[in-house]
Amino acid sequence: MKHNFTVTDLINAGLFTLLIFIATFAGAMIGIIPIFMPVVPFMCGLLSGPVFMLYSTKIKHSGMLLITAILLGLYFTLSGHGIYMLFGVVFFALLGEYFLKKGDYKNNHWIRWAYTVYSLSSIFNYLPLFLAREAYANDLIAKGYSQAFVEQLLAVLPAWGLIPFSLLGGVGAYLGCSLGIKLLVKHAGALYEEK
Amino acid sequence: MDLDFRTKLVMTSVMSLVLLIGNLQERYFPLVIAISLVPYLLLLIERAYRDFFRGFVWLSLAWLSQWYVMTHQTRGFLDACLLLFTVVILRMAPALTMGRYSLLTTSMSDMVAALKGWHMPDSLIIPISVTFRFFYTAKEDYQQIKESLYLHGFTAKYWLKSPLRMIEYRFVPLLLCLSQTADDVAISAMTRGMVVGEKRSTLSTTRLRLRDYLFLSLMLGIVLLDIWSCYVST
Repeated sequence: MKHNFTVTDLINAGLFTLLIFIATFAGAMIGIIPIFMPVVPFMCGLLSGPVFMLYSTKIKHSGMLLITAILLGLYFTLSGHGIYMLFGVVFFALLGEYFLKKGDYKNNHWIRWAYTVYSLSSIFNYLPLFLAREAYANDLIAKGYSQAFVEQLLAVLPAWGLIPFSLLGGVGAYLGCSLGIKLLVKHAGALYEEK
Repeated sequence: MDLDFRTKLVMTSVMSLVLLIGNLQERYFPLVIAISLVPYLLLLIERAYRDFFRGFVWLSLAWLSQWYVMTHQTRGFLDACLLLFTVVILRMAPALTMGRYSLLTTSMSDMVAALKGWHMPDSLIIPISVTFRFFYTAKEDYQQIKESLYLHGFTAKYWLKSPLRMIEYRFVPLLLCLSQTADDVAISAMTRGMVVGEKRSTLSTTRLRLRDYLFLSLMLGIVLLDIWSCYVST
């Protein structure tokens, strides 16, 4: 990759990474109540979509989504989601870069798809939960909870749910981006005309 | 105690790794408690009493409620949720505290110099430093937006009336205001002669000292013990 970033690009990347992180975090707060765990990616996508649409007005060439993704992956790794998060995020970010490139970095339709594809990386956010599932169940049983009760608790998060929940996250991101386009046209028309 | 940022980073990640998905809890429980207490001790040494106190309250609350659930054998759904909550807090809090300590005690120039020591490319270092710098700005701006909304009569009551609108009124100004700030910061960085890919001079004298190596080897030992207790000694 050529080093064609300017300082402005990098500062924008840093700022919007932070904003996307905050939006994602706010969406993930709902997961504190275990019943809502399946809709966490949906909420994350819905809240961070508008932020990404604003970010997309600052993206002029390739690599910025990748930087954002690497930084987010690093934060998630540091907050204990496991190192594979980093690789997963990079993979989906490259796919997203492809979509961005297809729309020449200014077509809203492709930008929206790029973020939708990127947000599928929430599948890797879920992985530790599913890996730790068995351990957590055994832990609970060892601590005196009955088998039936533990099964009922884990039924909230069935093992097959990994893919549909992440797809739901994609839907959330798509809706979030659409919402973002609406908001931007309404509030920042001068800065942003519909392309 | 003056640790290098690299040491703090490694300590944060090792703690989150070992405490969150670690296998040490069963056999080496005293060791786990010792690891969990390290960040709090470091905060005490730095005299960040408020952060120390806050972290300690959270930790003891989680401990107490876990103990309560364990001893009273009630098996409702709520209890299990509470248990999950306490487990998450007990396992995540030390790593988060360590992260807080790292951010509290490292100046930006030290951090950039330390990351340079790892030969990270500029295109990652600049966004990282910007991100950490903006945490505070975002918080401040959000506070001001909230206050001005309050002055305009959008009080907490309004949340019930039209929550979506309330979110929009908070979200949009924050986004636009921060994107304006980003442009300003970019201009100020350019006037100070920041160019991507060029070597920059620094005032920071950070380097890995003896105590850093001490902590690093301790962390390495913990990781090795974790792996050993998981795969070898079963």
